[in-house]
Amino acid sequence: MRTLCVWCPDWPVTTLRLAGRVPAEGPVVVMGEGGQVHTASAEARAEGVRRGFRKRDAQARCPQAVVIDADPAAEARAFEEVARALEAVTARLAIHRPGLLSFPTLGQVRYFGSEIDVAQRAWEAVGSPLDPRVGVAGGGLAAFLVARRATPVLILDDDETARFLASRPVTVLHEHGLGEFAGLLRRLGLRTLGDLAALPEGSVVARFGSDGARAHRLARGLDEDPPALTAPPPELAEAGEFDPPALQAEEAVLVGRSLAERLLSRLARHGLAASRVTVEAETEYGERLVRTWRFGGGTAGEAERALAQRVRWQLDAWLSAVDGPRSGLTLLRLVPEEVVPARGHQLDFWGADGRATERATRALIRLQGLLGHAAVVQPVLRGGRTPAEQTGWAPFGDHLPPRSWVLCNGDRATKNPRTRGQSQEQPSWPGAVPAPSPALVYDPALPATFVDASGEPVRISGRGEMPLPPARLRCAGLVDAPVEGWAGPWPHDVRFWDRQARRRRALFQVVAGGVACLVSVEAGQATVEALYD
Amino acid sequence: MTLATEQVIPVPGPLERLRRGSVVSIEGAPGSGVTSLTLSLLAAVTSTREWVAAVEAEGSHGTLSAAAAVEAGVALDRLAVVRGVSTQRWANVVAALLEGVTLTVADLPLGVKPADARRLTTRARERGAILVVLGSWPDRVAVRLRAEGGPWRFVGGRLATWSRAVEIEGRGRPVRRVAVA
Repeated sequence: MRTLCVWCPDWPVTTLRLAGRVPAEGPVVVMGEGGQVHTASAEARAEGVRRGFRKRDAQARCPQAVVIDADPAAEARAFEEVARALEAVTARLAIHRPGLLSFPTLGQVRYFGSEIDVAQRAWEAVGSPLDPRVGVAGGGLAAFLVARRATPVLILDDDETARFLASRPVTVLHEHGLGEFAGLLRRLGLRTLGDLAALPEGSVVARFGSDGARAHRLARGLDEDPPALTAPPPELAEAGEFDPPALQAEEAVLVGRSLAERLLSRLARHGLAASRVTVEAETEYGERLVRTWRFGGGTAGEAERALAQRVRWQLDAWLSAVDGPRSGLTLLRLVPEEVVPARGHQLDFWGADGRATERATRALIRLQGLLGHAAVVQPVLRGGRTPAEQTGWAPFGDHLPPRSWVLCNGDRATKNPRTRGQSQEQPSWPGAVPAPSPALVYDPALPATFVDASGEPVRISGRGEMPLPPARLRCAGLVDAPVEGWAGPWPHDVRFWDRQARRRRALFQVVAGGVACLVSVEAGQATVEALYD
Repeated sequence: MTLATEQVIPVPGPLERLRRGSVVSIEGAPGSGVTSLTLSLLAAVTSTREWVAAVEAEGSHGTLSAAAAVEAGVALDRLAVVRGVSTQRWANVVAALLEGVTLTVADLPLGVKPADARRLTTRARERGAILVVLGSWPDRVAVRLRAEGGPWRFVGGRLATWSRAVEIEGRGRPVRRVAVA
């Protein structure tokens, strides 16, 4: 998916400079967790200070540097301003971390004209004092890497993206939480993403499991997960109310943390994990605040901490902003915007669930390598009137959404397996043959002879009437017997709005020779569509 | 909740349970209920949050219906189907699936060698996987099921109920004939 990424280099340093806590010029070293250098300003980098250095080493290289502890909350607060400025360009931006955000360009390109226009507007919205870099490329990882190269705007088309990615070292996977895995790849002699992408996907997955699958997708310039086209159902959101309204960030943060925990553990029960979450708040005066955050994988505990931290940053940014809400928060909601199947990290209590999926995935991807991608498929329930129309097939690994949402509809649906899948969300198809559905579908349908008592083929008039009832059904290899019972017809006027493609057909349920089939009649020609087997 | 190491998977209906590592054969004429019986086994296994797979042989007539599978209670997100498998590759495909998924249902193409069948039986036993073959298996099976259709009833102008039967042979018990609702 074409993605635009806005990156503000050395954001921690920029934040501290804006706040006047460090001098506007000269080397600055920001220390992060574990007493290691988190960010060094350009001047300090020129002296040889690098991320991950110990304080002592940094000071040895650059004695004149101002050394200061990182303040992630302040960074998030300041970045909220950037996000707000970009709302004029897009409504779909997702913040990855303070200093980095991205959004898909598809709709914006249509609105503003071209990717260059969108990128320019994004750059102008942020403003030159913050020195934003804007990159546009296929996929989130590529867009980020392009933004890091941009001066200040760089756009690569899909072919250029592929060439660019192939030359990048595997260590860039660090950005997606695959730092350790990248180290392993380097030890194995795979130094660039191109080296990794050149390996067959099946082998990578067979050897490295889900980390390998993610890395391979990224190396090919795809997004980490296939884009989900359906929004998760609103029932998955978690909300908490404040009574009395929360004026201080601290009060809201406690609730936010428990909401994050509830949201992720509920998703985990459905075998899901969130990759994008929207934080929504409402105030006493009815103001509504919304911001989307994107965060990477990791174990269940890490994801929970990451989400809780982002909620805290966001609440802090809103409540302490100069032009923030004019009253206290009354409601906080966490809405999962994009959910992905939980990966092997998340073992459930018995450890069986994730392992079963991991094991099955390996075997199925190996088979895809042997037989071809499209040979291993998963059934998808679609709308339609005939069984063949209702059954869709998606190559394993591609199917969307990752789970049938119906199964997420709470415990009631799960208790009774018979009602599973027959959700209220499935639109009804007038003229569809009612349940039970035939179990065996013939696609293409089998030619048959379906005649009435006079020996004429069964025909349906425009009003759905037929002169004589059906008397005999013959289908090679299946049945050749008088009709014992039948139901129907269910007449279909298929694509009646299109003169060329318009078709009229009628379906019958027919029992003949002890076998029940679904017979379709179209222009006097009968076919057996499916068998009640 | 079923432990991965648990040896028996409960199945609602006449079969009562499936033992890991065993081979089950299902036979029956078209329209006698072979597919419905298969779907009930798939549903039983996916409801324990395990994976299942189906192998469709090349040139086979008919494929599973997603709607019928959902009505039978199969979790579609844990069902994979391998389509158009040639006779030469059939044994390898089934062997690969037995490595990865808990239950594999396979159309039995003509000309499967008894040696291949023995090898797959052993593989299923070693991996604790269940192999369900649709047809007559040229090796020992733990349970042999034979679907026998029955009369259909129309209610309210449509097909409604089907009183069919299944013949069960195996587990050291005499052959039983059980009616299926």
